[in-house]
Amino acid sequence: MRRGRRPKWMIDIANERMNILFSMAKKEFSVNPDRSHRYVSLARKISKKYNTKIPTKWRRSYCKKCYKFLDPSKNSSIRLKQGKIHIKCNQCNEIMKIPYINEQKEKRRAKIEYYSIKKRNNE
Amino acid sequence: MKCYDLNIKGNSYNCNKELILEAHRLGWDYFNLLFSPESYEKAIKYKNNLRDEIEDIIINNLRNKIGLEFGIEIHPKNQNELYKLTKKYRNKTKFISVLGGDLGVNRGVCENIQVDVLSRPYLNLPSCGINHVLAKEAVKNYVAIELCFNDILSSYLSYRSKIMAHFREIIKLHKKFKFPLIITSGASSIWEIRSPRDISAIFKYLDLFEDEFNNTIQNYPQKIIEFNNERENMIILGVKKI
Amino acid sequence: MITSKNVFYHELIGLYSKVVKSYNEFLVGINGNIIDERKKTISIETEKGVKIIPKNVSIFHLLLPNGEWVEIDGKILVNRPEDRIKKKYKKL
Repeated sequence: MRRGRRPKWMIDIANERMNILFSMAKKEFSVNPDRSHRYVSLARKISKKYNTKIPTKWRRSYCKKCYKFLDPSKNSSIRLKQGKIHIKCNQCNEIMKIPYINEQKEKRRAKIEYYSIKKRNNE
Repeated sequence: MKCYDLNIKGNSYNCNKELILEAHRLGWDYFNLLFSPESYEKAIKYKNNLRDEIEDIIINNLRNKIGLEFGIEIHPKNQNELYKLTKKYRNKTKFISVLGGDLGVNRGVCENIQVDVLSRPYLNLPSCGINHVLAKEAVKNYVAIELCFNDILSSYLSYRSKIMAHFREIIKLHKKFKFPLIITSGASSIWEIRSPRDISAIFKYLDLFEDEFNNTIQNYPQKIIEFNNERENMIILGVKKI
Repeated sequence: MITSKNVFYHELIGLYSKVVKSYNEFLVGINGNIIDERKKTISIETEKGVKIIPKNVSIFHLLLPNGEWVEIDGKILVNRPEDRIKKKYKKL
């Protein structure tokens, strides 16, 4: 078997398949949650085999420890604490922490630019 | 019973017409005219005219339904040439047969799923041209192996006896491995056509009995033609649009 | 996009399907959406419950999202679902 990077058409199909699986998992979660956990594990197998990242839209929608599908307010809780997003999985009590400092910096920069433009207009 | 003849050498328009009428009188129902790749493009233009004219002539006959199809016969020298030619002509025509006579070419044809028929594998060889390895490959890829009755007719003395020995060996392999076997009259003029019953009488002497002979003349050709008609809709082996 | 040219590489979960021919006669006629796939079986959700069907002895009809119908022999699907992308098939 050839190791390393796969040809482009394989990576395209792998990305489409992961998208289909996650959207099915979201649809099925309210009725039978066991299936949606199974779909997440299928999607992770594809991503491991073909060296592709899981799509950015779905990256926060499964637990990093027990690999189960997370639906906010039914299965998990989201809080903002100390400059980080805290996503808590209710099955295994694991807390994923994702910093949002880049967004904060952008907000500050926009604020300064807004005031400096306003001052020049007054002069 | 319907009789299929998959190998008739094509010529000019009038010659083709005479050949088909004579063969129809003797009891054949389906005709496959084979051309070389250069003359095929000219011949395909008058195919519909030829069919209409023949159907007008035999309209009084009881079995007045005939099948007519044109195909290509190629003569490759080695395996690389074989792959190039089959890729080039597969989409243009519905029937491809390859002339054997070289052990390398015979092997290449049996492993190639794009070819329909391996024609005359025993040509110019001391042995029959097929062994147990090629027979297993031919079953896998459904490549039919063709015995040409014209070879017995046009040869003489020791050459004739050698060819009949080759036939007997191929039939022996056919009974063991069950690859598709086809018997045709490779006729190029009206004097070389014989009726199906005459051919069956000779092949009975070569250990091919009546129900097996009916398979070679009816069932295997029918399967090949049905598969070729559905080849456009198939994407790979096993997947089909409806 | 799932088209008729890449169904056998693509995801089967979520497609509507029908069993046309099978070694076991009682499985013929089962239809519904596919909900799971393993190495040798496919499971279909019907009105009477989830049915598990072996791949290598049956033939399926699939309805693609763009409205086409495709007939697939189950023998070429026998593989792990993530390994089907890199398997090599013979071209006709």
